[in-house]
Amino acid sequence: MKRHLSIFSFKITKDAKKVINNLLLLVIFILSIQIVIFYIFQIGVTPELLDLKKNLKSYPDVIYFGDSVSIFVAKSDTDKLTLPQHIQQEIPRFIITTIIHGAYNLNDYANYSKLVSKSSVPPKIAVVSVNMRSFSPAWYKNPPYIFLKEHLFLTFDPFPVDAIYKPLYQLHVLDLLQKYNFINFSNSPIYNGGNFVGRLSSFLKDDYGKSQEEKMKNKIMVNYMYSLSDEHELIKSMQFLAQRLNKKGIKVIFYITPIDYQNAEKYWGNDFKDILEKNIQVIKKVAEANSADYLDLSRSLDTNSFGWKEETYVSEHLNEKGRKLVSHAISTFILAKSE
Amino acid sequence: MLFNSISFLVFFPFTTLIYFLLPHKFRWLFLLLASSYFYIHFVPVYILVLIVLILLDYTMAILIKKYPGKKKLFLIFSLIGNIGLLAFFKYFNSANLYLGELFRGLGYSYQFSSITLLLPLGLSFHTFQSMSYIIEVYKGRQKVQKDIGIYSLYVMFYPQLVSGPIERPQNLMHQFFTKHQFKYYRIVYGLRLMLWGLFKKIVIADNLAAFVNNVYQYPRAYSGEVLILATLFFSIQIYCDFSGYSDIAIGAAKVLGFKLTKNFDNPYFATSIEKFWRRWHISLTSWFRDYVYIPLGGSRNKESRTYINLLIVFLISGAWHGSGATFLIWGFLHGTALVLHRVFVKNKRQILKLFPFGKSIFRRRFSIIITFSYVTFAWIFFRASNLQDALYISGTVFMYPVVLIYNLTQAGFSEIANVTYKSTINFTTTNFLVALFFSLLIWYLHFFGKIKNFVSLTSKKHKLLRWAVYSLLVLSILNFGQRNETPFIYFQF
Repeated sequence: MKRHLSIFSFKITKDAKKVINNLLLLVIFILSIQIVIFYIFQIGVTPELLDLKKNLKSYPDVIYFGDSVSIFVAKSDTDKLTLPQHIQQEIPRFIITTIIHGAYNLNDYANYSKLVSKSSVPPKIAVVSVNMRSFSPAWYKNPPYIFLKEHLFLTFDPFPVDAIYKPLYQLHVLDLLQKYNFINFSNSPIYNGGNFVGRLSSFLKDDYGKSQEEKMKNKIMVNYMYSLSDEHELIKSMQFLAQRLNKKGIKVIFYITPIDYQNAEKYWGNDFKDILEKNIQVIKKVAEANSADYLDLSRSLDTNSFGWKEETYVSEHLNEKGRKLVSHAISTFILAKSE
Repeated sequence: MLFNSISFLVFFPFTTLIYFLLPHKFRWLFLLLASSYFYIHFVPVYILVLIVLILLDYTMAILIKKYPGKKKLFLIFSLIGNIGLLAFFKYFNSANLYLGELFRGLGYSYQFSSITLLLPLGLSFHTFQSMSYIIEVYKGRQKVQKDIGIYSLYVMFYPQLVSGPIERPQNLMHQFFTKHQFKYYRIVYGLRLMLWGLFKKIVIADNLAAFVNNVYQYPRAYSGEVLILATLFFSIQIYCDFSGYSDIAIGAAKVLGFKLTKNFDNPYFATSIEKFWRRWHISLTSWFRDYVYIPLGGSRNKESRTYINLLIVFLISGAWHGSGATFLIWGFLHGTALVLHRVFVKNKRQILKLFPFGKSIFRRRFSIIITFSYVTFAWIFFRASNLQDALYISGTVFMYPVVLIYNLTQAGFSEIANVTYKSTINFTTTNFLVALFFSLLIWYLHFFGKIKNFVSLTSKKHKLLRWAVYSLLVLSILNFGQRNETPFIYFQF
């Protein structure tokens, strides 16, 4: 076959054919080996996914979705039990399994709900922690807080995406799928209520402020004082999760994790209280609209129940006192809803 | 553009395809454009430096031909231009700093401030390549290239533009006129060589770099055994990094139909420092031999003069690598070793009578170990961030046997092993272990298999084994390679 374009002479020789064929064969061969080895030995799967797959086979009654708040133990605590472990102690007749990882948010829980809903005997109740800080772009748009591997695996399961994840990552193909990178993360608009106060990068530049007071005030504002709407992508995920699990007959309980509101109001007074209340109303409305229960623990603990002061950054991490109170509230709620 | 980048993964097949689709008369122009794009992908403005260099040597070569009576003058003018340009970018800030300190020390005021200029990528390489052209024209061993396009391509040919091999005009220039066919065996050979180079860079060198960089950044935080380990690893890292680069460069050129000079020949298995330099960065060593050592008199004069010549060459080689005192010491260490080796060779019989080393196989292996240890020791000065660190590391490494004996008598082996393990625990990631495994495998293959050319070796094996080997290389790159597109070590020169 020979064609003459203006300056190109295009002729596929035997040698060219042989090179192309061998390269294609090599790609197919390598891809097959990669998939077979990774699939057999489950190399690319995260420990959380492996645990969940295993635990779902033991037919749990309750499935608990959480972030670091659920596993945090303060250094000074004598009681080292985590929040779900406390809940398990309070309601021993229920088998509780967990999906917990630091920085998980409703997007991740919604992804996991795809696998949970595929279970032949699904759990009866799903407890989903809703961390109000996770709605801030400083969290859900933060690239290290985006769990693309889990997302791809859960979306394409049973196709073994985990087997080719590393090569795709290595070849930067996954960069094309990343919704958020450091540029759009840094450019995220920050609001105080409805008022635009700047881009996230301007707050990150000098670690939220020059003085300690300024740092704390800005961190609280960036983390909690956005104006939540039902168009927020995490709210969409919340709806997806509730609908998906409801379809399988799983009762969904959204519980709003406690916030150190006393500390926040020290800096922002009623502004904080009002904005938080408005945002929580959005969550309540979505939960109700999707036949889910909700438990608002946002203002349930005083500042002495939080362990984050030992960590030097603002978070919802609880100390043993806080964990006991919250686990009691959740287990009581589970009991009430399961009757 | 880095060879280990996604951009190159797109650039290379695309340019290769276009290159072979084009009629021969347009190929040089296309290669020149592709090479310019390859270069401006780093820092676009530095192509101006390259253009100045090309224009200077192109013009001087023409003038040498036109006015043979004044050819020395044109040669000197060209050399001053080349070396001046290189020195300006490479040494201006360091020299300025030293002068400032000197003047202030003597009580004078010093006003010149440092300039914020980065060294144009690969300047040391292409100035040397350009200089070899002008010297060869001057010597009458190379015809003047009247076509400025071809001459530009000789300097800018992208596979070897930023880190060599430094090509002589006699080897490369005529190849631009040859019509290269798309030949299966040549293309496959080139691709295999590129893959092997990429494997050495991404899987071995880059994974070892994580450990080496950490240790060399804060050497005082680590004990002797960790410093020795990091230095040994740097030895492997720099070999895999630079020879990996050379393999990719030679492989890429091979695919296009060009034959570049071999740059490495199993250097760590040389039985003497002299043989090491015949096998390490061959194109640079031969450049220094032909254009510095021989013009200085080489070994034709008195023995003492030869020693001085060797020291001069290696001090220049040190300075070529970098402006810091550490590079000069590194050059001096190699120069001294070559002088000592020459003394040894002259008095070999008497010395061997004093130290009976037994059979030749033992003597050979002993020589390899001694040479490798010395080269590795010298790398400390090459790698350390500053002279203080280099002296600290070399002192600690040198004194280590004494410290080890003392510690063994005081604490015992298990405690020392425990401390070493704890110091390295942060690095015992999968990737690090993989790098370690492949380093040892390469070592084993070189030592026992005596492989000199991996691709030629595998070409002779059964098809199935060949497929298995190359699939393993690709799988290792995809699964264990470092994703960050880390620049090659020699890019800084």
